[in-house]
Amino acid sequence: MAAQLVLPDEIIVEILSMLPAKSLLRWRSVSKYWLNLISSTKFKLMHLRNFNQQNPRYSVRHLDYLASEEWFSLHFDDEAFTLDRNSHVEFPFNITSVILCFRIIGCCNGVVCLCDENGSGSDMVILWNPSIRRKLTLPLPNFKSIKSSFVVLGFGYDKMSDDYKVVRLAYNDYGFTGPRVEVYAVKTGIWRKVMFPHGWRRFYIHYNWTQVFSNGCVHWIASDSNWSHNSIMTFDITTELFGEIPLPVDLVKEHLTTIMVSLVGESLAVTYYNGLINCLVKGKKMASSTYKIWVMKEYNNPTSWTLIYNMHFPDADMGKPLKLRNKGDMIMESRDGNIIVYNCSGYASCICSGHESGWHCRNYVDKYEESLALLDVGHSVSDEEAMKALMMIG
Amino acid sequence: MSKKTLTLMSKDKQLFNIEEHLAVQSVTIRNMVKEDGASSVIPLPRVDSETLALVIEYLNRQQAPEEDEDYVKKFVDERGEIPTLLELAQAALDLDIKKLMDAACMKVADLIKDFTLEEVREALRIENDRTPEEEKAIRDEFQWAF
Repeated sequence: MAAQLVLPDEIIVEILSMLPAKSLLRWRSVSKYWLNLISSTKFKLMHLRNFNQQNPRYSVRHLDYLASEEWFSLHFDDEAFTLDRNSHVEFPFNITSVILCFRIIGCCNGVVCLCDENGSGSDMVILWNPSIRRKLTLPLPNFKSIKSSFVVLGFGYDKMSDDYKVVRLAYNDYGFTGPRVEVYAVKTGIWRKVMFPHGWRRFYIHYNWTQVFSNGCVHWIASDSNWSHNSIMTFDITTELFGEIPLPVDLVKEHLTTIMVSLVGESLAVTYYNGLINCLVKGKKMASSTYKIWVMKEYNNPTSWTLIYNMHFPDADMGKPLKLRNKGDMIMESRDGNIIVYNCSGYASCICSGHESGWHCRNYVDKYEESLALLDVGHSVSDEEAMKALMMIG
Repeated sequence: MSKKTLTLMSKDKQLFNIEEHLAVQSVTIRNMVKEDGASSVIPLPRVDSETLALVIEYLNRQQAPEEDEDYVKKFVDERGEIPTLLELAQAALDLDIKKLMDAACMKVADLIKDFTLEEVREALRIENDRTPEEEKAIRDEFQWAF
């Protein structure tokens, strides 16, 4: 080949945006230009999109706190949900006892938000980016947990300020008064109080809540004071305003524990699961389960709720739904704690074996995104650190 | 009616003929044709003849749209040399053939992902403007990635 000409920036940027985060971390010292490029917000977002579009994967977190068993694994988005053996992720927040373990709140742009789950409430929040092994432990909030309280968290990315934010709702007095709300923004590094709308004083979230971030908003399932009217409560991460989205009519009066907010692909979805086991009907032990998933085809348009998944098992409880993949495969946690993938053709494969009973398991499945987020904040993960911090709180 | 043919000229002045309806997959050529009818020869001063021959081969492919994604992947796979792929990516950039450029860049990314600093500088023709101290600082920060 003739003279080695300098490559156009477009080509360099395009190539780098398709590389794993690990290569990019190393190559920040290739040149000054590369260091600045890889650290820039624009590149980070381009990398997030390009790399993950080409390498779609899922993460599975398995926790069995009675067996002190915990791991975090990555799987390809293929038919068999194949384990990605080349990308080993060390999960740095392992349990030390039954009362000291972490719960995953959610994932956004490759950042995992976790909180401690020590019974009384969640005061400690950690943001963790597994692909660059970075973590940020948030300072303690203003409204600490007390015995009669429970805490609801939400996590998302604010496009406007290019920042990650955690919103925390502290319900005291068993939820009889409205929550006290505060927001933590990574760039400012402090918890800031936010008003909860007055008219909503009696708007409840069940203590067994889940959340998803989508379209710039955090979503939880909530209900009014006498638990008679359910809807989705939203918190806009940019404007920091609360809002409400109506649920599909069928779910408005269902018990809150049967409804979970979720994502199918990029779309907001709600999952209904009603499982019965060992209930006595005419002296016979019976089991059954029903699953329904609605997707909101057009965001914030309640007329676009579409039922896309509807299954009833008249003689078995298949377990708790964890994630519906785009291809229609359902990932479930069985009653005995196994993680099982059911694909459309009825084929089932087991990802992890549980032990007899699943009540002490907490499994989590989500899209895994390789990302450079938190590169300029927080610090490297060391195994002991998280635990030490936890002990101090405990 | 016979199909209209265009002539492309490489950096080293070689001429290549291609049917216009195939050539206009390149946005650059499409715009030229729209502007002046591109009756004469279209010069491509940054693309050498070897690379242009490859681009022409790609543009001449006869694939159903649904097979196209696999075809372009296979096409760049078969030209697995980094310098060839970089030339191809550059030509695709100049000619604005997005799919080909993306595929070539992706293949390069796959080939270099485990390279050392020196190897990647050489492969992508980057001049080292870092001092050993600066290099060490970054290495110390993410030791596990090296």
